Amino acid sequence: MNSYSRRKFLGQISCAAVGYTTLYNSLLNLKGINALAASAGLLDKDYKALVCINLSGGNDSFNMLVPTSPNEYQTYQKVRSNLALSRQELLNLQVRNTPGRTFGLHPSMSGLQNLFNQGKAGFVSNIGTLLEPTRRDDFYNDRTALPLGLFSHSDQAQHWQTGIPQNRSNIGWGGRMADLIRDMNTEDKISMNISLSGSNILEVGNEVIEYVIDRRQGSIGIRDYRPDNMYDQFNIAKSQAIDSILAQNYSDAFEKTYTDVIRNARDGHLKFKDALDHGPVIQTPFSDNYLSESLQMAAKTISVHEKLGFKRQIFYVDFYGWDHHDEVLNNQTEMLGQLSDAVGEFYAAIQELGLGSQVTLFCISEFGRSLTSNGNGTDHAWGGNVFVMGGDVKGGNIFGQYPDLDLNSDLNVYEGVIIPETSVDLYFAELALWMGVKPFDLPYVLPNIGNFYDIRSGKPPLGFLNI
Amino acid sequence: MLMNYLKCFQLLLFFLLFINSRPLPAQTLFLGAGKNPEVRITASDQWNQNFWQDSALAQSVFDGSGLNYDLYNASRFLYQATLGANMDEVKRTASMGFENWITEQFNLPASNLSKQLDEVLDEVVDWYYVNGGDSIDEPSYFYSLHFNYAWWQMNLTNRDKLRQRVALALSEILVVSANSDVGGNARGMTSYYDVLIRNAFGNFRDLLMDVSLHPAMGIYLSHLNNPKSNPRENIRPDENYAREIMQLFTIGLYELNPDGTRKKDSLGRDIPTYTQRDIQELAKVFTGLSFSEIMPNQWIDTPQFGVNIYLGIPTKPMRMFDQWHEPGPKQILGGHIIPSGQSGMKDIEDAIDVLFHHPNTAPFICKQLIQRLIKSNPSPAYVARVSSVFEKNKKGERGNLASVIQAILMDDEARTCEWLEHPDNGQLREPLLRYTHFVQAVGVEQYYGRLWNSGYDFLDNAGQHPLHALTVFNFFLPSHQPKGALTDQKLVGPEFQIHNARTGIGFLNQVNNWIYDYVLYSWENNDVSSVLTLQELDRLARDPEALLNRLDILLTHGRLSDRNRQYIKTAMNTLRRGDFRNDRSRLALYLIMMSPDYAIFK
Repeated sequence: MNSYSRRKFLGQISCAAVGYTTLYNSLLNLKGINALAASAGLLDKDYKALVCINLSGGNDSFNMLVPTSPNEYQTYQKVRSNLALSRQELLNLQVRNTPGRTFGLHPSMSGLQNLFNQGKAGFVSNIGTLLEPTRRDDFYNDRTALPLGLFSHSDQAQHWQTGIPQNRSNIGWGGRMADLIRDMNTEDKISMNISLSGSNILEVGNEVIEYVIDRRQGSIGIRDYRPDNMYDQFNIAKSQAIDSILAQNYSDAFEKTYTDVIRNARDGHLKFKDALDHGPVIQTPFSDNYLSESLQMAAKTISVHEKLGFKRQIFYVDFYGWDHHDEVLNNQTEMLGQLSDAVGEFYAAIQELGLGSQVTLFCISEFGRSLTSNGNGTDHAWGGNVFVMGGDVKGGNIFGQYPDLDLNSDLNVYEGVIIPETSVDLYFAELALWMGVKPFDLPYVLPNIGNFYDIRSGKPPLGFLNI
Repeated sequence: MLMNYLKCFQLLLFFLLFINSRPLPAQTLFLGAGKNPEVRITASDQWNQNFWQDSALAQSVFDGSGLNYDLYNASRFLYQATLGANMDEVKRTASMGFENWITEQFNLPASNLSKQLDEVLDEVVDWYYVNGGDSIDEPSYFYSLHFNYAWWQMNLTNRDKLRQRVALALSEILVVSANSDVGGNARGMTSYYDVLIRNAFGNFRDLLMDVSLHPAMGIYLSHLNNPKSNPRENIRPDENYAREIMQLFTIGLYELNPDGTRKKDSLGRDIPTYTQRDIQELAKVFTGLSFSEIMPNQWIDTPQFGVNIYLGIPTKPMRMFDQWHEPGPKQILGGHIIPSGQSGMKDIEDAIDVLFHHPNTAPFICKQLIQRLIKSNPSPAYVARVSSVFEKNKKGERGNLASVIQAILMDDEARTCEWLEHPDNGQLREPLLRYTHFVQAVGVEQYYGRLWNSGYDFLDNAGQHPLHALTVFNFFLPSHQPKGALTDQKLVGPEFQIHNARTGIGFLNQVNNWIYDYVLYSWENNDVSSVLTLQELDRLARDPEALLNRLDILLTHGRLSDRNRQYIKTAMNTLRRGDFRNDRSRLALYLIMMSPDYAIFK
């Protein structure tokens, strides 16, 4: 059933007692809210967006979030040897929920420090891909099922985007989420899943695919397409021919795939550009680098969501280059600084738009890195730390369990690899629930969620958002 | 398109049989390609000018020149075997035959990219002085931009076309990228690329060894200056190169059959080729390497372990500093023990041997080479045939790449009509190859003999440029499966990973630049740029059919569909008066390049 006819179908339902699947129930509920909101002029309050920053390469996140209570810091320093950050340089975090334990933030991240201490940002600690809870002995004795391709970039990056580490799937949880909730949007030509960084798996669903835009120009249009000047015969002829070529049905799989992308891009661009051109000016300055520019374009797109017809959107940015086998200290100083600044700029821009509680930024990274040094860098590991930021985040807290960094702990394998205690499923489930996915629909978005969370419990998976 | 043409003639034959009372022997008779048995045919549109050679004359069909099969075939072959060819080369190849062409290519000397870079840099410096620069600020920082200049200059003027095509394919498997410290050193980059060029028709083991010891790879995958363990400090060897040489350069993640399909265990699961322990052990092997030569400096006279990238010379193979090499035995790949007491270089040789002889290496490498050159979804049988040549060529040699390349290009699956029409056949042309193909096919004017191209605009807008992948995983994964029809048919389409709304349209806008502004662009000497040579095409464009026939040979190898051809012709015919006439060829070029008929190579 295509998008249009489903909406029409739902519009004709008079009551929920007609035994529809949970999927349709949640869509009905959302449509009901929409109708109410529309009539009450509360359209904007209903808007929500997720912004994903993928720190691809594997961020050495045990140097991003560091334990500073005496015993824990001593362990940290011993294990990380020449890579350990000094106590004095770490930025103080006022953590609310870890009595007896203190933590510090990498010295380059003052922006994030402020957000955390203001209660707008939180961490999820020792998170990673899992199929079931696993400890060291399980790992060494093959007692538990493990994600495929552990320690391999391509595999782990895929699993963080699919939520299905037992397979190599090319469908992402963000795409499946969009499949479910996109009917909240009135726009159906432009995808609700926007990428600032090219194709990705996260945003591809069973129906939805990502719409890739440029971080500086927004959507990209065919040059001189359908010119206003009626004497521009060349471009008029060119445009007509393009349209004719694109209008056909191509039965060959390769030709169809190629053409569909071009056609969708042609169609989406005009509307997108028009919206962006007439959108509000965002005063908040952004830095001159890839990440900041990408977040700036995300903010601009968010600012015109109403014109574009979106109630729900997901944005993806790939901030690549974290595979620090070499020079991890220098590299992180620069890159964590850029990350922290960009996140601060983005938050300020969203506040400017009055959408502070309606946008949640979260980061992912395919793995943390080995606690032990290889000289001046670190190698592939498993569990790591991520952060979330936004007005609806229960900030100032560390969710999950910050692990014991001792090499003898029962979560530690291969001299410095920490087995995660929190599965990514819980992280994504919380984001999905916040976006409006109903608990009974979670298994569609995250097929393995039942391994870690009881969807009937009524409790949040991790508790870092106001759901 | 080719099959359509032939089927069309079969239909025509039966039609004529019906209306012509004279009985004709069925099996051996055919029309076209010179054969014209007492049949007269007229075309509904005879618009032509007698004084132009290529025009839509009915009899062109019968004397063979209208059918153009040989030219389509040669053009198609040259797309697989080179970075692009012009009409002269297409004709020459059609007449000499593909086997002879390949042999000729094998015997040509290899171009040298580093030498080309030297010439480029000389000119860069010359122009600096010509423009009034002084010796104090003489340019000395040469980086990826200059590699790009040299790459284009060489690849638009060289004769060793097949070798360069293979070198490019190898650069997408044994990846080094300017997106790292490597990008700051043009000489390091060209020197690395020369390793690929030099070994393209050589032995894969030599290639592996040369790649492993090249400083650019050492920098990129961090086994340059990788010290032995220091247990007291919890320091262990860097695992980066050890992991990637296995995962990406030789055996991959899972055990393979010779036909490239995955082996399964008794529960039907994939079988991993190596464990984390294997990586840690192999990491020990790649310790102790550093620069073998250093720049003149005020601190040290001879190379030492630990010399940084600003002092080290990135064009000479790394050397082993045994005192920094991990001592003791190394048990790699779950069985092979590299004994204690050897030199570090011997450890590396032994490890390379193990990887080279692993049963996975042949299918893993061969399948990817087929994907780069021929099609995205080779049949397992095709992969198996090529793998067996890798395992043992006619002279009994393992790993001979020339034999492998020949096997790939001359296999039935790459050559015959039947395979061309197979639904699994196909490949989205890599953006870079669409670029080079276009430039070669149309021709470009040189400015002061230069064909430099900075390439950054293309890289940004279309997503690809040699040695500029985002990561060691190349621009796209061999297993990438775009959503939709390809996934439904269980086919992969690696190149689609960089085909999205932004790059798809971005590429079209690049084509727009090429036909209207410049096709190659460099920053030296007041933004010098090169434009296309359109005179010949403009001449042909007076007869749209003639131009399209030419472009159908050069670009689409005969596969321009009738419908799209008609749309393009209609568009061209609207440009008839005054100044717009010359734009016909530009319009045709743009529309063909944009069409799926071109974008998808069959």
